[in-house]
Amino acid sequence: MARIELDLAHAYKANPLQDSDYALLPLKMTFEDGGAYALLGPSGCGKTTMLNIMSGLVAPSQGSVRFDGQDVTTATPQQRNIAQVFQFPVVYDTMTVFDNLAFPLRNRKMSPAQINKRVGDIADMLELNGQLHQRAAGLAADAKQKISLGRGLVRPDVSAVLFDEPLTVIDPHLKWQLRRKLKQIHHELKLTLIYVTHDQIEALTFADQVVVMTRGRAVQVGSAADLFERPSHTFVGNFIGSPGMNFIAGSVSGGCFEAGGAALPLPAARYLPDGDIKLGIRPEYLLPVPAHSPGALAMTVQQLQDVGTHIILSAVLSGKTLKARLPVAGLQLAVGDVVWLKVLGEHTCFYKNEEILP
Amino acid sequence: MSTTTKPVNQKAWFLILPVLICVAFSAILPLMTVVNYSVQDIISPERKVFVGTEWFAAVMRDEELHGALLRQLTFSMAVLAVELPLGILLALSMPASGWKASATLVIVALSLLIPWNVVGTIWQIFGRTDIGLMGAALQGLGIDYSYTSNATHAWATVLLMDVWHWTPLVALLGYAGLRSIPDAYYQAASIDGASKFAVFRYVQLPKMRGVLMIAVLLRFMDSFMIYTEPFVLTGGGPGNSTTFLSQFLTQKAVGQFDLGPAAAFSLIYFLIILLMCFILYNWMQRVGTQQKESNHA
Amino acid sequence: MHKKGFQKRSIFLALYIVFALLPIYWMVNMSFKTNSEILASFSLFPQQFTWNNYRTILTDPSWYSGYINSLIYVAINTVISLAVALPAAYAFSRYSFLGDKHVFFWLLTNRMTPPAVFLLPFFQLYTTVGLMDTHLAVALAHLLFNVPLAVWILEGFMSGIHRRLQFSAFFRDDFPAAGKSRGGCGGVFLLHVQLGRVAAGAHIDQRECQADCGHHDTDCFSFWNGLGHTGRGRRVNHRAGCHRHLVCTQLHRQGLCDGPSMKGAANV
Repeated sequence: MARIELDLAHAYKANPLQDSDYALLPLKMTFEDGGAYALLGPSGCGKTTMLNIMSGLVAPSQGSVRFDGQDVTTATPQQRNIAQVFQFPVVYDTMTVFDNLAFPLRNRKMSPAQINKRVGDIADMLELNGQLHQRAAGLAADAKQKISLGRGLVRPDVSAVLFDEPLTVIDPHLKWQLRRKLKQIHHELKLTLIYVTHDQIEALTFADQVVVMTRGRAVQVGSAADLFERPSHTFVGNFIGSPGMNFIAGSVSGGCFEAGGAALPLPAARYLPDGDIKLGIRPEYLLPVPAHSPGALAMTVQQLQDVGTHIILSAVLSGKTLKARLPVAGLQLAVGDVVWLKVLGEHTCFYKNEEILP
Repeated sequence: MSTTTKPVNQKAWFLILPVLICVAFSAILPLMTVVNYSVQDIISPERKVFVGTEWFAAVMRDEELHGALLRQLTFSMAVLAVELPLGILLALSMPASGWKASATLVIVALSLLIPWNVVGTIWQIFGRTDIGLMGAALQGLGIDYSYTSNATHAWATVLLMDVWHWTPLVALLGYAGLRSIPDAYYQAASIDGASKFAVFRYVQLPKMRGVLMIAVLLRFMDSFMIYTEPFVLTGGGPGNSTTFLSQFLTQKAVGQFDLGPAAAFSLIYFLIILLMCFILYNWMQRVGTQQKESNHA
Repeated sequence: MHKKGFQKRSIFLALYIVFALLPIYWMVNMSFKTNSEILASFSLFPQQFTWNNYRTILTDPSWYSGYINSLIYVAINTVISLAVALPAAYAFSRYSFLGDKHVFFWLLTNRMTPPAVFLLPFFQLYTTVGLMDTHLAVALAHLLFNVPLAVWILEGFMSGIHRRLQFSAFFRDDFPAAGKSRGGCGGVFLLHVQLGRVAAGAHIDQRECQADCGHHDTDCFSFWNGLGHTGRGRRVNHRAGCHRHLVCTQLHRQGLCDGPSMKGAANV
């Protein structure tokens, strides 16, 4: 179990001049001992690079990595004592499940009795008991990923377990089983777990704290609730949530928010600088209200999609489409109607230059 | 062949008709001729007597044939025993990427590109004690080396020539197999604390199984049919110590015009190869599907 | 990698390269010496460097007629081999038909025949047909070994190009994208597409498309890994290079598949 501190940047070229030369823009981050973290972001954002820097497979071009205060930037993965689970199952085909799990321990010259016990414990936890003496090559993908995971957990002093999109090759109906298993392991073993994914549902259900990344930048670190309620960047607002946050471009002048030809007075407690601004509101909080209610804007209904559990309403405001998530019952709207949706409320956020205003 | 589902279309037979005609002309017709000869005694162009399986029986009892077969098997086994480990070792030593990889590949593969009779000529000269580097060097070391009069030396030279000529094939196949191993396996092995030998034994060798099977198949078949190189180098001598099956057959067919026995032996030779090819091919397919399953599961 | 291990390997490699080049070097050495020098003295370098030998083989008719003969029959052989092997390879890779696996295996066995077995029958056959002593005869004889090999290799290559990519390119002429994604095989791909226009009956099975969409991530990754890229340190969206993803995207855009829309389809 270890506390990981990162204070680094990583660039492909020797002399990075602009942002695009960096794989990871300069960042400082701490992963507390025993915490479950997720690195979330689209493909190519640098999350796998960050993971590999933490595990020691890649050395950062500048900066340092510390485990429990010790500088391990030049240490090998073996020396750092981490475990890594890759995107596709990595098992030793010629060995049985038992031998696979025992391999790291045998390399450290543990006694056979200890190895037996340890492998038995981990196999119990991962429910691999019945298959211990089968050849690893013939098993299904989820069993193989469990073996990969087991090889990481079997070492008694592992400092952190790093996951690189491990559920990608697993069939959907087995994914949630494995996810539950991971949470169970976290609960029992209290290890530091860091999970890389591009799937927000995986990230938000697995982790206590999620690091949202894009294009080499860690944009926001926070719990699922934080990311949902107060995304600190428009990217986070867009990325998290299905559908993502709505953004209305407008401007502030004289204490009013102006957009779509209307001016909405802002509450006194909310101070916003004059000038261009973006209003962000999630579809879950964009509710229809009676006409001319305070804080509401008029929009034209473009589409109504019944998804079963709720309805997605697409409405047009000055040429831009906004989406609202409405309960199924009690809706009497048709395409082309004018609907008033409340945009100003306690869940509304304001953004200037893509960053949130406090 | 690929195993994904394909639409069934019997009209595809028209597309393979040209191939069938070509191969029929160059394979089936001659083969029928050979079968024809193998069951007849051709005393003269006018007098042909049907003798059934007599030639086959005679051929099986032929002492010379047994000798040639034994020599051939020994040679093929020796070739595999040397070329496989050497080729794998070479594949492991070659750089993985960059200009060094390309340069090494080209240099190593040079010997594969040389026409086979030229290979024989090169080694024939190379082994001569008067004008050849190897011959002169061995003479200088005090060894009374002569591939024309000493059977052991002749064997060693033929073997060395084959190793020089064909090890790069095994190496290239092994190299291709090695490059297809994803980095994650090496990373996981490093994280598990595996020694270099453990990495070779548990990661590299299993993943190379498919290509190595192909290498075994190709090398065994080709060495079993070898003709030009030993013929040019030693001519089958001294005596018949380096006369392998192909040369033996050619001597019988064209040299002595013993058409009947030659034809009978041709068929037996062909059948032996077919049998081994079939066994190895099936084995390869089985290993191939196993690997595919373990990759996709 | 430990330094010691690294050095051992490069020593072995260096030794092998010396072994591989030594006989060739010796021949090159001898080729620049005169006959008398070869027989009289023994040296690692030519004492009297001469171009005479090369001059002889390039100007003496008894030498260069050999090159011309070889060129002629190799050209004939190549043309015929490719002409018959291409349609056959296409048939084996795209369709399944009665006896296809057996015919394929039988073709391969012809590559495995000992040439000595055919020596006599060829002799008799070509004498009878009157082709003895012609270039055509040699070319035809070598078809026996070259055609199966050509079919084998071409079939492997054609199987690697997903058939819906071929069909989709037929629709949208996306040769450059497809060619780029296969790392520059565009030229042969073009030929392949022409064949695609000739071969009728390819249609898109929507269920297959949906199944493909669901699995494309897996195949993408293994395909990409098969090329030796793990995506680490490369900022290129690996999906852009994956031909299956390309296919799926195009089919979705054309409205030909109403399967689940794919993650990142908008990225390409």
